[in-house]
Amino acid sequence: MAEPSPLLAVEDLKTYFFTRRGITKAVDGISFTLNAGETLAVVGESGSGKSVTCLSLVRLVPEPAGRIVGGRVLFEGEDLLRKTRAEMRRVRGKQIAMVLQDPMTSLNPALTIGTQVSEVVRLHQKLRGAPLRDRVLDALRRLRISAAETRLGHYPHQFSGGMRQRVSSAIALSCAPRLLIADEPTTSLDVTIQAQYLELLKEVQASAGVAVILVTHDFGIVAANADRVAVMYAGKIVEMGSTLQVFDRPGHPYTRALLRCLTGAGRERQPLVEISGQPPDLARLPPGCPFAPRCPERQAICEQVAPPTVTVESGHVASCWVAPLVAA
Amino acid sequence: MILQGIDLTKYFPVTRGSIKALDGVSVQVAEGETLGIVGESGSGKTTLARLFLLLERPTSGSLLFDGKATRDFGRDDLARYRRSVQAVFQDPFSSLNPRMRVGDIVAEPLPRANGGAATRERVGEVLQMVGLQRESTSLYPHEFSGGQRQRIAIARALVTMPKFIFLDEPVSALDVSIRAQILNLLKRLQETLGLAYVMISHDLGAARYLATRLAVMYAGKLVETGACDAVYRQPLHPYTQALLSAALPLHPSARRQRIILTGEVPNPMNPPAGCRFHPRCPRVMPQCRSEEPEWKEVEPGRFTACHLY
Repeated sequence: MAEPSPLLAVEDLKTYFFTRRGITKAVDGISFTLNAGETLAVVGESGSGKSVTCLSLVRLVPEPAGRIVGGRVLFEGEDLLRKTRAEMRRVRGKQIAMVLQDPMTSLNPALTIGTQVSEVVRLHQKLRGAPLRDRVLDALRRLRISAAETRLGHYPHQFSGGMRQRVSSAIALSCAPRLLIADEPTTSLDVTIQAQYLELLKEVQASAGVAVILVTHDFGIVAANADRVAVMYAGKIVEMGSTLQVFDRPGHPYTRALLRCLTGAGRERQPLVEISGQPPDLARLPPGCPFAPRCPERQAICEQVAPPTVTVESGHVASCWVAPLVAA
Repeated sequence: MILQGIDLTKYFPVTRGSIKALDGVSVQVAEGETLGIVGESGSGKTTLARLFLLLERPTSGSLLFDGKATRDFGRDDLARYRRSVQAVFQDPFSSLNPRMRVGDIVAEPLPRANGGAATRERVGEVLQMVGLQRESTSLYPHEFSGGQRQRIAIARALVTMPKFIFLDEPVSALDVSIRAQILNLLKRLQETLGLAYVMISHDLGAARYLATRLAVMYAGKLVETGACDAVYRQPLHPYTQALLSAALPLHPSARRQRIILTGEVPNPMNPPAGCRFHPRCPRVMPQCRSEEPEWKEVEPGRFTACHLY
């Protein structure tokens, strides 16, 4: 029996920024797939290319400096990169929705919540009047916005941070998308509110069967919510596998180092192993592995030739010269 | 040397009433220890630090430095206090003046009278202590990454040879791999220089890494204090329990049943009667709604304010 085709298949995606200082390879040849209803976490530090990856999927890379220069983004079998602008507008918000980091800036401060949620539903579902209002109330209630009827007339500043993020999510989920891209959705939230939001996201996801790409810099969020994880460094996916595989048998030295410098509330106090140095300048990448200058397991070849992507185990790959030795 | 805050209260007047940012908090910090202050936004942790840094005056209550109240300070006392108590802030992009050279930024807390050569020597010394080159003095902050800027901010705090440093979310703005570098640096500096830290954080992991004693705040009040490991191992107050349980797991197998609090942090203009946590508390009892719980020692060295004990 053939495997069901994935909801999303990204193949060798490249997004470059053309600046006076040269070409910045923000996303440099990444590939991954995502099945319906699955949560893929994309982890990386600032500048690793995780946000540009998200923007590329929905074709919102800031032009003209940024351009998708290669690859395919197959969503339900169709290449989004070949669609016209008008076709993309029908995909965004309806089939693929986004939640951004800071709901204070992603919501319009001058419009009521009701107006902002209705806009999406009106455009994509062509609803008006009472059915529109019902649909909007339903969307808010699903994200546990209490007293939704009165809340419709309120402005974003009348909501707390956690509530605003739920309103953003209500907008994103109002048209029953197949894919939700959440870019650092809890970074601006407090600990207990973050826990609330992540639980709610899991629930809503399960009931609506929506697939989620969860962008984060925090391995704790990966551990809490993700089925699979892709680790990005300098525009490349350096490791990908199921959450358990990556936590238990990290194949890439960068992943191993990140996991060692996790601080957690449940952790006994032991020295943190730090990663020396800084992330590289994307306009001046070294010829070999981009992590080589900081890598504790560096070999001579790492600094000269880009590493191959090797299979650590079924469903678990890492781009590293040393990985096969560890796997063996 | 010892820093004490006694029954500190800070209200900020607004058009209708006042924001009760801090409401009767007493803490003390002894030489060489690290007091971690954890809580969510609006719990009053930053206001507490600003009172200790003499950036705000308390509405009531007093601050004591070696037993002497800061409000009775003369010029010399104040100068000594400023030298002894320094701070590192969260965002090294806004806490360093972009128009000043690193050398001038780091030298700024030193008295002018010190003169050129001695100042230069001291600045070079602290830059080396935080892992930067002595030659960095002629550069501007924009020439450094976030982690390096936080090192500059730490150097500026160290330059007067303080005994106490307030760290207000010192690693929250940094990337994961850089965070570990800065936490290790802070720990190393503490061991070699015998510093006391007051670390304010909403990041329970980072707080646990540095703190020896922990104070948990909620809506302008202390809810629990105790030795850090003891509080993490067995939190007494239901809010501390929920806060620790809400922390993210370190491994996917630790996805456990978490205590998910409903509701939001209360409005600081009009905090709930009785225990301020009662509207969200999973173990609320009738008296919690009307009577404010007393601050008491439940076990040796473990204090909390809760009707359960």
